[in-house]
Amino acid sequence: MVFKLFSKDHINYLLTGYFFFLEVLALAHLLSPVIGSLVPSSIPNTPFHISFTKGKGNQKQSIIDYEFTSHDIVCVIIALVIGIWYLFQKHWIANNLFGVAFAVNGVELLHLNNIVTGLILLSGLFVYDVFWVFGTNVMVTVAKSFDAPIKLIFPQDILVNGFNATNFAMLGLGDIVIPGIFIALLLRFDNSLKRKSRTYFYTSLIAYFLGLMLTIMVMHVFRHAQPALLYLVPACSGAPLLIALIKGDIKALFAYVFSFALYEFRPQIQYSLWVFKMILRLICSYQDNPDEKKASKKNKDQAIANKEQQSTKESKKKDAKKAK
Amino acid sequence: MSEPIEAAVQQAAENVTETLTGSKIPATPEGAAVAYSSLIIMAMLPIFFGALRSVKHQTDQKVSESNNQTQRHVNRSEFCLHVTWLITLSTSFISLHCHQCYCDFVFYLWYFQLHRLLGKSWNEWTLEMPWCSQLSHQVRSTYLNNMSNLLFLIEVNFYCSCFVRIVRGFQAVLKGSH
Repeated sequence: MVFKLFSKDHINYLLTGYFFFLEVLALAHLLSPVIGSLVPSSIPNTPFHISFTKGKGNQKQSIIDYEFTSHDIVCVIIALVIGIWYLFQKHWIANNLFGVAFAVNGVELLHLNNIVTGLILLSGLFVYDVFWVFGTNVMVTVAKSFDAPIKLIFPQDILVNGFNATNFAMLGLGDIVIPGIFIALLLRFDNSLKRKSRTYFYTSLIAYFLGLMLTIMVMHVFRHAQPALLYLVPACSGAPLLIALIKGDIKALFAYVFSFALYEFRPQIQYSLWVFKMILRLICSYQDNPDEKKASKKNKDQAIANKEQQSTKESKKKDAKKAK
Repeated sequence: MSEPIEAAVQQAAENVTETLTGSKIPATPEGAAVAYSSLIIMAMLPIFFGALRSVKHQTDQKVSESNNQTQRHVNRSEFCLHVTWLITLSTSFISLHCHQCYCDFVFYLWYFQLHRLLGKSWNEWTLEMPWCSQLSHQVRSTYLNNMSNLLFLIEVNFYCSCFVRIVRGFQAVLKGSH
């Protein structure tokens, strides 16, 4: 019922709003140590703690448990201002600020726990990227038409047109975050060796740099959009493995397991995932409604699945009402 | 009045050349060099600082590390979750080129294996995962145990169809523009 009231524009607004929310959180998280070190110590840093719990005694569950300081509020305000700038102007500087914020947060918060998982992930995405860029035109279309900071862009005619330049070179965030989490894993491995040198980290970082250079050169020569992971994956995974073979660390490298507390409460990630799920539902139930009807079995199956989904949603709502 | 129209025409011409050649024609060699070098810098910095900050997380978390036995189990179930998502995404993409039934078969095989791998039902397994437990808490509390397996499968199937449709939507947009 609700979906008939909304047009496609409304859903675009919803997506924009969702990304706005994420951007502001990411940028505020990125800024908070910077601002904390910039502000003179004479200005007091007041801590706050929001806590919202359910139940009593042993059954106490915390629904919201969030600590922040007055510096964090300043960060959120700065991020909000930049976010509004991006909303109205879609300027490339704001886009890059948010892109970098997303990338730093991604590399920081996504943890791989061992080398084998990392290699599987990298090689899987390697195949994906190559297939989607060379096999189809989907990736290029998505990169050019999707209106959210999922890429870094920089104008090529900045020397001529200044800050209003329009001819952009772009790099997807996936090409940064995915090798990035592997490089972060190598840094943790370096730390676990306790040699006070970051051999593998710097090796893979230099390999990443060379891989990017190669991507750009190939793109320049062939004048065709290139899947950056095609060059980055062999560089980032090959160079550390080679160094490990030479130095004889290969066994230690494959045996290394990074363990971390999984039960840690990360409200930002959880809530943002939940919102993303809801938006996906909205988009898809919107796409069901238009009059185009194709009498194929596939569509029927999906319709059945969606009906069941909706019925579960309704019963969920009922239950929620009952609980109240 | 004429200026914006001219700009629009210029933009359209640029777009046409872009789609024809598949890449942008750089304004000048210097401009391209500046653009690409700053892109490289913007790519390297997040990796460097993100990696350093992730180490900070690690040292914070070492204090709260639990015992080894549960840790291994959690690692295993975490790995299964990753692979599940990987299969979900890949089959959704592959179903653009193959028939859906092959993808459903792959799904079936994976869930069959998963059941043996974890030695327990989805219901118990999702209880351990932080985001699953958060998301499906209501479902679990309201439905019986045997229902939630089915529900989860429907949910996964639903995500699959979502991705397919979004990608098809982009393709449709692309076809419409030509």
